[in-house]
Amino acid sequence: MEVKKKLKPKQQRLNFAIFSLLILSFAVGLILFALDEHVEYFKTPSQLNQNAFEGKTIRLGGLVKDGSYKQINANNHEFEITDTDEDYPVKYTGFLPSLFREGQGVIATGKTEDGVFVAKQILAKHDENYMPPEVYKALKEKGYKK
Amino acid sequence: MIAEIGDSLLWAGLAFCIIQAALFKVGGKFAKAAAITVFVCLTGSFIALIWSFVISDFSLALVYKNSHSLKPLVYKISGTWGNHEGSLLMLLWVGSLFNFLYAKSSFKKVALSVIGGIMALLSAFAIFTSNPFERLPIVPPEGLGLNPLLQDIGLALHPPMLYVGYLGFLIPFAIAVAALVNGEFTKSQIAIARKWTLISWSFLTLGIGLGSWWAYRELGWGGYWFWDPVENISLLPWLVGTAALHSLMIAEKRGGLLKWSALLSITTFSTALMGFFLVRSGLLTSVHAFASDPDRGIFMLGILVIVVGGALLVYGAKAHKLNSEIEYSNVSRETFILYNNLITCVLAATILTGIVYPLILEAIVGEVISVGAPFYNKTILPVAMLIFVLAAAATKMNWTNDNAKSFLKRIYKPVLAALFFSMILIVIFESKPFEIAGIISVLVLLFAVISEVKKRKLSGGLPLILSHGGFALLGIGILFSSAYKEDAELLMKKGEEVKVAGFEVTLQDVTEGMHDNYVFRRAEFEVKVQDKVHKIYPETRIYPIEEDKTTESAIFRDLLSDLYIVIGEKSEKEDSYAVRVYFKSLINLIWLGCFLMFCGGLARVFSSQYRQDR
Repeated sequence: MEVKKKLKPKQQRLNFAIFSLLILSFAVGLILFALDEHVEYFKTPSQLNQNAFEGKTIRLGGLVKDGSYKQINANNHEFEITDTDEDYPVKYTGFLPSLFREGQGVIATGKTEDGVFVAKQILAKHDENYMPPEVYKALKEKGYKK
Repeated sequence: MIAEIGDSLLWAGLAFCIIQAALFKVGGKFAKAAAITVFVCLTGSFIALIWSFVISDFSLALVYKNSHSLKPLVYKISGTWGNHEGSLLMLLWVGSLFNFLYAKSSFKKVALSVIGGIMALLSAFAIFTSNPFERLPIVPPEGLGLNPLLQDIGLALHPPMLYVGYLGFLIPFAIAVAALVNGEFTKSQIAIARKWTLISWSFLTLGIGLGSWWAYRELGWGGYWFWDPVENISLLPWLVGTAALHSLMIAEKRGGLLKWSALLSITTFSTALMGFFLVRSGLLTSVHAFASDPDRGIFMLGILVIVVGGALLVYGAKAHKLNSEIEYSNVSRETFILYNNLITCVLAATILTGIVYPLILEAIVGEVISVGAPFYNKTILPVAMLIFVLAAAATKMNWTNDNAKSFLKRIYKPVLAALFFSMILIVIFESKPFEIAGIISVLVLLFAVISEVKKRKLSGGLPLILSHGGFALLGIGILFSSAYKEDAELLMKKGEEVKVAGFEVTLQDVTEGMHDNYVFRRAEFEVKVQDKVHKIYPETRIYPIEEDKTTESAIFRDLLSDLYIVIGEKSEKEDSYAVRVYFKSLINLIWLGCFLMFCGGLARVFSSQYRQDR
């Protein structure tokens, strides 16, 4: 066995500092990149009518408009989301969540395509008393009361 | 009557917590007696609440809101902690149990006083903002029911495991604060802190695993992790706790990293406490969000500031006294464990950024955003790969001062084996570069651990094998289930067949009917694989009492991989049903891995070698 050097505490600290710096800058770089690319904005139907944000992933929130729900078949659904002022048409392929109902607060995640919101995911709260906070806030601004 | 007794006992618990906290000068027998009394009071209080749920005492607001007389007994009981107030009482009870167990074996004055103080704050929080024993002015004839999604055995067990994890970290926290106050962190204190960190970490691992297992079976989309803020919060104490238990090991075995270990012990409990409160603050949008109340927010914030701020102040003022400089070379297990410590903390910080960034942005700019799976996949996974590689290196490396050449001799076989297996996978599955990197890094750890089995079995290294092997399997499960999967979402008529990942799936029949407290639609699927026929029965259930609907997935388990089928709505026109079929490769390794880590952690606590070390 050859004789190897143990590091003095000062060198240990220096090595540790260099390693910390490397790993931190790597992580911060990833975070900045990901926050730029992979963040989803919450919008209401009125906001989408002003600006469609074509190509961006949006979370569209509001109430399922009364009388707007159409079952194309068990897997394809069309309905409108309303913020009580304005509506926006939504298309969705997949399973609707447990508590999906007309008049219920929902959040649809997806993108707008030619004036229709194509949702990849629909979120409704699993509790009939509870509304997604963003939706409740947006609706409150429109004068809606629970 | 029972509820009044429970309420009084809760008050008594608070009083004795305060007494325990005030005994920092006396300590000893008195503090121990206080700890025992707190435990007795809170046990009585908790039993009183469970009893109120069992007998469906709807004069209590909590029972009325969260139970129903027709519910099966096991869910009446688990309904006790399926809500904010009840789960808080359970948390307090777990805390009092640990307080009692710790006090039994130790007369440390300051640590017991710190525990007493924190328990007092939490009890006061329960009594003044979230009293589970609140009565209704009029007794309703029937309860509102428990959210059907929560009526599952995985979820009955998930919160208790989590709370054992969260509150267990209180003991190392208190020991660390006491060590800072006293200006010395003795070997026996470190050993006790390490033991409690191991216990808590093991249960936290199991609790998180159970939660994801529940989500996988119950939420009906084949996923096991949402990257939901509340799930992410449970990862914070887990990550920092992982760092803490490794650092405490170095502190105990080598006498180094005392300051760092104290800081990590403090941070672990602080993140647990922060997580617990953040979940209940109503700030986060999540499937877990409890009904929120702004008054609670202020109280919670106060507790957090006192506990975390206080501990950090003590650390800032006294940390210099815990000097512990030991010498080790760059090629040593100490170095690699320390670097992995750092990476784990960076991961925790990344997740915290993802959780609070939307809150900050909304407060400042007013823009409402959400940070979901894509963010975490991009930021967490690349860094996490490093952890596997460094862990593999650390298991093959000697303490203090290793020889680089002989280390390479030890590590090259696992590395070659990992590369070889990865090559096979690349050829078979045409993996993407990112997946390949991931697979190589988890396999390196797996083979490094396997290569240690023989050597360490003799020297009592079974816990290391279990926990690190489990961690590698967890990594493999996560990677494979997302990289090698097949989905089909379609409409099926009775008798129709679909092929997914080599399985021939036929919808045979659909029946509808009534069960105890729900109405169901049950499909009968035939799954054919290699000329063998199996039948599975996914369901959707409607719970009329709660006016809710759940999907009960059905799983055909093929070794460790799952074929996962869900039945949805019916198209009346075409007489067909919405069906989802997922094939998830090796997904069961995720839970197997968590379970092995749990066993490994507890095995270390009880292993003979550990006792010798002490």
